[in-house]
Amino acid sequence: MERRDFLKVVGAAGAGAGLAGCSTGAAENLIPYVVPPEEIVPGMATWYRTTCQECPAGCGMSIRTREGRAVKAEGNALSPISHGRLCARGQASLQGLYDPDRIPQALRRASEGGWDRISWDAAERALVDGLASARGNAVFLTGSSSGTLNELIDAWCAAMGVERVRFDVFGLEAVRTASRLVYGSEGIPRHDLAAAEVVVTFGADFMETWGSTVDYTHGFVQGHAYQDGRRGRLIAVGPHLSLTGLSADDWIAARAGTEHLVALAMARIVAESAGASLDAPLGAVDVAAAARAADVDVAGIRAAALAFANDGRSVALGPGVAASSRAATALATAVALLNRSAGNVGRTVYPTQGELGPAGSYAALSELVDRASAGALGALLVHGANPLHGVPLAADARAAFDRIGFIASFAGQLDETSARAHLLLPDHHFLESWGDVEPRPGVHGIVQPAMRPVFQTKQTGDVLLSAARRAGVSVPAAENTFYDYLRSRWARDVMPGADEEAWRSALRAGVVVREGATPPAPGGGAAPQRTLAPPASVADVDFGQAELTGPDSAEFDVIVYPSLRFYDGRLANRPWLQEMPDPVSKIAWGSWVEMHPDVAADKGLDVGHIVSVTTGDGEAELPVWTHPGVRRDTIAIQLGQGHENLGRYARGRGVDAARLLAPIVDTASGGVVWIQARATVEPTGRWDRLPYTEGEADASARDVAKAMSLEDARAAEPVNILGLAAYRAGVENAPGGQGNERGPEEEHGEPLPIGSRVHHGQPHPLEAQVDQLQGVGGFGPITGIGAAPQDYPPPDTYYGEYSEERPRWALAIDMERCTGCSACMTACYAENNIGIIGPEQVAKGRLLSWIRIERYWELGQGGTQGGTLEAGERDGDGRTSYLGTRFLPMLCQQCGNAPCEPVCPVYAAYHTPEGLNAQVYNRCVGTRYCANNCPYKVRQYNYYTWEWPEPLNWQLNPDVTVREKGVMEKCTFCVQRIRDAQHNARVEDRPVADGEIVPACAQTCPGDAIVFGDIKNPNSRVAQVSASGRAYRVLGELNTQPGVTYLQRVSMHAPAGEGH
Amino acid sequence: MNRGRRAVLAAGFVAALAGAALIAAQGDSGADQALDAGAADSGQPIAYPHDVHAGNLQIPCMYCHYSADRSVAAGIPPVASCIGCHAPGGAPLVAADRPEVQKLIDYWNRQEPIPWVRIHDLPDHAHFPHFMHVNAGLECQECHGQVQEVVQVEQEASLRMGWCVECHRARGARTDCTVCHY
Repeated sequence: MERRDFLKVVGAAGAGAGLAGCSTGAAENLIPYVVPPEEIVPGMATWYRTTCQECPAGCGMSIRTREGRAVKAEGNALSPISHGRLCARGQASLQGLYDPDRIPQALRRASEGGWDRISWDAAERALVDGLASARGNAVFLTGSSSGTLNELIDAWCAAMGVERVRFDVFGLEAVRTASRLVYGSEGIPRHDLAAAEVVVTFGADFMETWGSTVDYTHGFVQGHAYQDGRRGRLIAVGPHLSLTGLSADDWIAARAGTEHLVALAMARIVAESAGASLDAPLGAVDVAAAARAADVDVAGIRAAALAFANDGRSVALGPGVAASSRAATALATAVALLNRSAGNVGRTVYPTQGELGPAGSYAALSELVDRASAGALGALLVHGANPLHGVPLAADARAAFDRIGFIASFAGQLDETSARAHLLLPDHHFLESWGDVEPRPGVHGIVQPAMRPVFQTKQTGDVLLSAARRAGVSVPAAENTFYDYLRSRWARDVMPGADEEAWRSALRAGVVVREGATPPAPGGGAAPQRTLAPPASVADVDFGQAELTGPDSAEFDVIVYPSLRFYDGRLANRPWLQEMPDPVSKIAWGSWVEMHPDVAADKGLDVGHIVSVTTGDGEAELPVWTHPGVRRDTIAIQLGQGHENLGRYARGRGVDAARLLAPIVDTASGGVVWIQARATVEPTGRWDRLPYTEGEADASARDVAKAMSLEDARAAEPVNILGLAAYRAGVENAPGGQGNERGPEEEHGEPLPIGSRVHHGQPHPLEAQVDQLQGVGGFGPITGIGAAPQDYPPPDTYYGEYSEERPRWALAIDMERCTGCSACMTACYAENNIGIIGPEQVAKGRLLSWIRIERYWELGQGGTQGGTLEAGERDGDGRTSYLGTRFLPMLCQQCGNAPCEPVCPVYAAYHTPEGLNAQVYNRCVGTRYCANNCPYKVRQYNYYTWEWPEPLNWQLNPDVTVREKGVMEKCTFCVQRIRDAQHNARVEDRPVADGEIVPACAQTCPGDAIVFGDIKNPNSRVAQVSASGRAYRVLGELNTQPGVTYLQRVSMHAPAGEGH
Repeated sequence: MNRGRRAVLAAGFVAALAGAALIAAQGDSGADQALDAGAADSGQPIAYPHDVHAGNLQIPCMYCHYSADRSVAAGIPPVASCIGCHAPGGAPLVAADRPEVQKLIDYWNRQEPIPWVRIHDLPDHAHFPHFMHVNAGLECQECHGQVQEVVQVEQEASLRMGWCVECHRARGARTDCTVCHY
């Protein structure tokens, strides 16, 4: 704490001011420090490592600060949870810190409505008085928490005589219950996806919200992406594909509420394949009947099961929200039995390493609401929970909350629950706080402030300690401040006997990993133990089919599913996340209902038509979006939107899908029954212009996002000079390691000499090619004007124009490693000061994002949905069937022969000697000729001067010019980072090391799909990856000679050209 | 190179202290009175005489502008740096009786930063990393003028792009647009 007391930061000048002409104009002030903070050099970044708190996963993060302000969040490479990566939500945490709608200080409800500003002293007195007036009938409702604050709340509740209730919207109660029943252990089992060749997900959106999403995505890509002739398999089971499902190789499109029957059938087949005699419940399973109930092919289930029996190298996951029907506990149990029977426990599933910490239950919340309804609740304190949004609750729940005599909320924003409070005690944002989390046993993430508080908020731990003192109550082991409490707990439990220096080094690392917290290397553990007999404890689980209910005329099962962008809705006021198009639907800002395109066509509906969706419990009007990855008898709606409160970016956007549901508790687990409703869909005859950014789902046979079969990929391997194995080895050994960690105290490894022509003592195989390239200055004669597209670009002209003395910056993107998660988009917004333009402008196609994820459908025509469709089945009855998805991150290709450059009348679009297509903002006069001439559509035009409401503007990166109206802008491979590295190397009189420069998109990518470097250096990772046999250039036939190389996706079925 | 520079700094600091002691011993002089009188039209919150500090006392530029060799920003001296000579530990030492130094001590007592008016102001779309230029061996005076000879610093160079590019060309430095504009 003390070091931050030095931070007398008073408006450091120049943080991203506008692009206002060349003259020095009005005088600007230079504001010095009164006392210089020891660790800050003005103009240079200081990094703090902390732990992300946007969801319970607990990813380690590194925060870049400039002059005392946090400006960028990146993953902490030392964290075994984040691996140096972050998801879009983690990237956007800065907008939570600088949210203009945060509660600025302690507030008390005024008698005539509105809020009175009060001092923290008065607020703490009001809290103590409010609790006293409840006469022991008080409840403290908290969200998930682990670590010291969790302990303090327990101790405080016990001392103050307050009952504690925990509730998480996505608590995964069924998974926890099944883990208890089958494994006898608490928590969500840890899954090692990197060790699994076959992954089966039963509605577990593990790339979006389910479990530790960054760790899971990172692991999944390692286990799944094509490597050395092998490729993993992902099988999605369920009626609807969310982002995770779009990476699936096979889709078993089971009806809602029957997923557990498929899981049991698979478990039976797996057990039978091991020759086991079968007890109940597996013995009672009829595979054919299960397939009939689920309305899927028996052959598909059988193939999936046989693939799954894979010597302990497979894993089944689920259920997530999208499969949490009344049979959620049965499904979770069946998944656990399936993992046991395939011998996955101890190989890919670690039940004793429970993830995410403890969670509460929906049942407990329901009881709380009942008590409030009955007027039997004196006082309620709320921290980290907002039960009045995004959760199915009885119609009178809101009124019930109004009946509580005293509500105090620690929420940082005025959400639906805190809006009903009498007292607001806003907590610090986690980037201003002290704390810790234990997301996995033995992994202790430290939460430490990256900057001084933005508002007059106070850390909840401090408020609790102070309130206890005021009430004259003694909390065990209490200290003066929460920081001291944290320190003494760490000295007691986490790092016994550690001195001050050890604590400081823990702070620098941001995470402490105790021994035994990491599982053995894949395959290095014990031989797989296949446990075929189900434990007796599952005898009481009801494996019957789950019912969905609705109006008599209901045609559709209703799937509600979590949002990758907003988690449970708590992040809906982050403009970066609102503006980031949903990775599946490509719709920004609003809500929509997903419907199969054939069904929509039958009803005369198309994208943007407003329909009325009616369940037995509610009605909502939503625009239609057609999704080939949903069953014909199913519709799907995303959760997280439809806020009545929160803030300016969230309020009134879309629909809260939970309002369509009845408050039904899964009695076996205490969780929410999310999948319960059937609905009618009626056209309203109205139409809306959606903020829809898809462009084309169909690449019009241009084969933009290519794919090849596994056989072809294997055949192409000899062309792959160095192979991905070498590339991967390079990843492990690269300076800074996998996470490209650039913390302040870290040194870069031994620099790789640029232009080094010796590879393992031998002349490098690419050398000849590079020489040729340079010989023609990168430009060769265009000889094949009339040639077929595949003959472009002509040999030796791949990378276009650059200076021979300089590097040629290039990017390689492996589409096998891209899951479409869009974290890169948000990272780019954060790094490059990209403006937020709002839904109306997005609808006009003016989204400013410099990198976008193109999503192309691979569709067939066949009678069945899902399953593995072979080529012959494509000629079906004219009905659309889903085969797969290809994601293609599209950003400026930094063409060597760029169409944008010669058309600029003022030389603002200009080619640098390093091969970049630079955009000189101060020269640009906004003719937009360049954007019109760009075949990739990656240049974005500022139609207005965008504003960042105070204090959102505090986040602006001072290293990047803020653009204004009339200026074209685009990706420059984060040229500010290139300059930064070049400056450092120059001062230190050394070459820039390969891997030293990492653009923001590559830095955050959980799948490590993006590699950046100097392609002229044959030893660079980017040169090696680009030499893969799967490499191609998008629209290469235009002879643009792009600096971005794509590696084709490998398809497990015969790939079609996308978009038929 | 950095280590050498630090040594120079340290030596400069000793010299500065010696000079400060000298001034303290000399007491008022006519020149100092003129200085105090000129404070009103300096346009700065405190009429800081660069000639006295950088000229007479020969305090190295980077004693105060402490990050010029390691950061994009040269560094505006913290109030604590000024106080270090003029009133270390709160006890008046060097020229503490002068009205301008009194202003300084008032800022310090209020723990307020001094709102200096920027003289050398580049547009925000031009990035000028001080440390690259200092490490390339440029003297501060080449851009900022003979600061050690003037009471009140004024912008001598045009700071326009042609002026930058001329020097870059003459010295063989890069003139690619994105060297400065991004």
